[in-house]
Amino acid sequence: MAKYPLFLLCVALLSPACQKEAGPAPGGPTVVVHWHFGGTPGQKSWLGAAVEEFNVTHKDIQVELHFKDWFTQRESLISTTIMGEGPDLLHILHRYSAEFGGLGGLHALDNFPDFPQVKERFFPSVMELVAFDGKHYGIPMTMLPFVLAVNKKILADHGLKTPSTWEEMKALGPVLKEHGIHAFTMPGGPKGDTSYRFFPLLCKAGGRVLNEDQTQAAFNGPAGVAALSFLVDMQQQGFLPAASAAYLWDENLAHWCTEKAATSIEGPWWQDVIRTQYDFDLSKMELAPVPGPSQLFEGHPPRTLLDVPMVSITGYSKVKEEAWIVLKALFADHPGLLELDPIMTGLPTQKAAYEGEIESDFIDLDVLLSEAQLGLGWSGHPRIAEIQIILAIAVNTAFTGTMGPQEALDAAAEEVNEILNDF
Amino acid sequence: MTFKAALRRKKLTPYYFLLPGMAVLAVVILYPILGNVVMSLQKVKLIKGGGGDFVGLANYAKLLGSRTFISSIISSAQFTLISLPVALILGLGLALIFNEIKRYRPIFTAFLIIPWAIAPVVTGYMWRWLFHDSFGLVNYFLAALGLIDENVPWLAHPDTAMAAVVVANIWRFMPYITIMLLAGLQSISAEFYEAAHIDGAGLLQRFWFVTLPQLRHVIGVVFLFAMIWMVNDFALIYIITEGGPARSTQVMPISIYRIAFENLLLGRGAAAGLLLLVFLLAMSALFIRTLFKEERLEK
Repeated sequence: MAKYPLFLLCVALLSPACQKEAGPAPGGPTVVVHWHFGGTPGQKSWLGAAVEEFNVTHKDIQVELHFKDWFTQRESLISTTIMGEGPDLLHILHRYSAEFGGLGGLHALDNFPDFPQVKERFFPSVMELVAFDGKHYGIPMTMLPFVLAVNKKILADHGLKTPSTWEEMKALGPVLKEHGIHAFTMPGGPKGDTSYRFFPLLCKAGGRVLNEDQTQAAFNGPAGVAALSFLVDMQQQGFLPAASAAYLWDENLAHWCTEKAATSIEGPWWQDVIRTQYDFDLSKMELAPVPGPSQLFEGHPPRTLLDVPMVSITGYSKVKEEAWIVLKALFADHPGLLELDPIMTGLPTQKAAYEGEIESDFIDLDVLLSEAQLGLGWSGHPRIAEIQIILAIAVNTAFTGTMGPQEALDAAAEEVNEILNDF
Repeated sequence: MTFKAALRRKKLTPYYFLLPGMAVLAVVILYPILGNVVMSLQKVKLIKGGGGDFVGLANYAKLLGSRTFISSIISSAQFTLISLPVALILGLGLALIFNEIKRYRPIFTAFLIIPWAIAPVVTGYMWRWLFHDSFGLVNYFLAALGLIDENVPWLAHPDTAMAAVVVANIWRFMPYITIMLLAGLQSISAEFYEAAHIDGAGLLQRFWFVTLPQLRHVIGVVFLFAMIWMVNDFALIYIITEGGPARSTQVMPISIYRIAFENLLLGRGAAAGLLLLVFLLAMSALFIRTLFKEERLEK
């Protein structure tokens, strides 16, 4: 035996790794691994406490919680789906129902017998967003309507009022520019964040991303061109930072929080983010609906973007039943989910949260609620992530002046149509 | 044992020694490349065990007909062809200076290596914020020197964005080039310089007729390695510009990443990766051939 110390050492080191096979360990508790992508600091501490409480009260199931970067969820989903190994639960965006639900990366919750009772407690319009092909791939944790975050102190200091139309937005420009402040700021780089800001403007003008049956791009119609022309015009006149074509989310956040810009298209997470990351004086902030043009450019009713982070069970999880128990306990039954609390990143998705008298620290909750009712999610097309990037590149290209708004959107539409035809 | 058999055995013996090494190389290099070739001829399904449908050369045809992919080849060429000569000239200049420093050279060399030792992701973030329009030090110093009136959005315009990533790349590569060339300079025999001095050669003549010819092979190897690394560079550019604005800095590796991992077209991504490999092999072969052809002619 003494002849093989290295061999024995290897065996000793590898043994625990081999034993950590997912699934119920004989005699021990079943471990359910949860990857929580994103979340504000407040939401993370709430979840940490909720998991701790669950682990104390459930001796047979233990939750292993891992916080992950919001922007890495798709890469993680791709690699875990390819490998067929990874966590049991995921906190991700609703649009992955379409992309990874159909591929088997996520498990259809309709398979659980008590799912209809759970589903019943959530708003049907929100449940629709986590569904693909008639099956539901997640429990919507929060909803995020996109609104205009306004620094009302900047506007008041310059005798200006909160804009409700594109024309009023433009009118802020010259006054604020004189004082070195941008009327509006947005991330305009070749990333999804850009398309998340373009979407509400497009929809406010009566446009849509894809046509009804999702077979063709529709964002290059009159509404899309008007929305992009509005942004490019704002940028060319110096009312929106010239550098926004390179801004990512955190740079845009820095620009707004250092009071270099008066408005930005954000959501309910903004309040907790600016407070915790920049110690921003919240009394300066107000929320307003995303402005639209004074007249619609296309026939659809004006809407804004509604995004829904959901919690899903992975298709390859070996402990789906236990994961479902955890999912219900932490993300459906927990009383914290019924509170309209800014630390939760978004608004509750269950009907019970809005019954009776509502108490909340959300600034301009009425605006968030009315815009949530007007909210429209990204199309549930399996290749929507790709379409978002192409749309972002079109906006980015128009910002650089390399192409005009119509040309940039037409080129993007051509690419998107090729993807849709290929699909 | 016959003479022929002995000769055969003698000829084969070295190859037996090479076998273990070759086997390792086959597993870690050949197998992935072959796997990539197979994948490039398929439309690959993402799910585990999903396999792929054979599509022949369709992935290659799509790539070569794609304006985006062709423009990424042009961006790669621009990025490399600007960065490489500048980094080489500056690196050579620094190496010549360092070669003259007799005291504390190891300390200076250790400081010099810092940009090369820093992870490209960290370098990328550092330069991204240095070039930031509002908070960046580049604009701050240019304004302090009176060279600009208002902040320049370096990363928001195609031309300045390419210039920014080139500057960051030169900053990162220069130490490597300097160290390699410094080693080359130190291996040149002092007798060459003494002979040139006796023949009346001045400083420039000594550099031109002694230093450069003696460094030729080192420069060649450095050039080749740096070219391969620069063409393959992903992290630095992706962190600084994400390939934007308007895809102006979307070099081939970023394009491949987008095809394979954003668009989930793994087969087409594999084809793009192979095209990059073929491009690099062709460039390397051409370069090595030119370098050694001149030497053969001289002999």
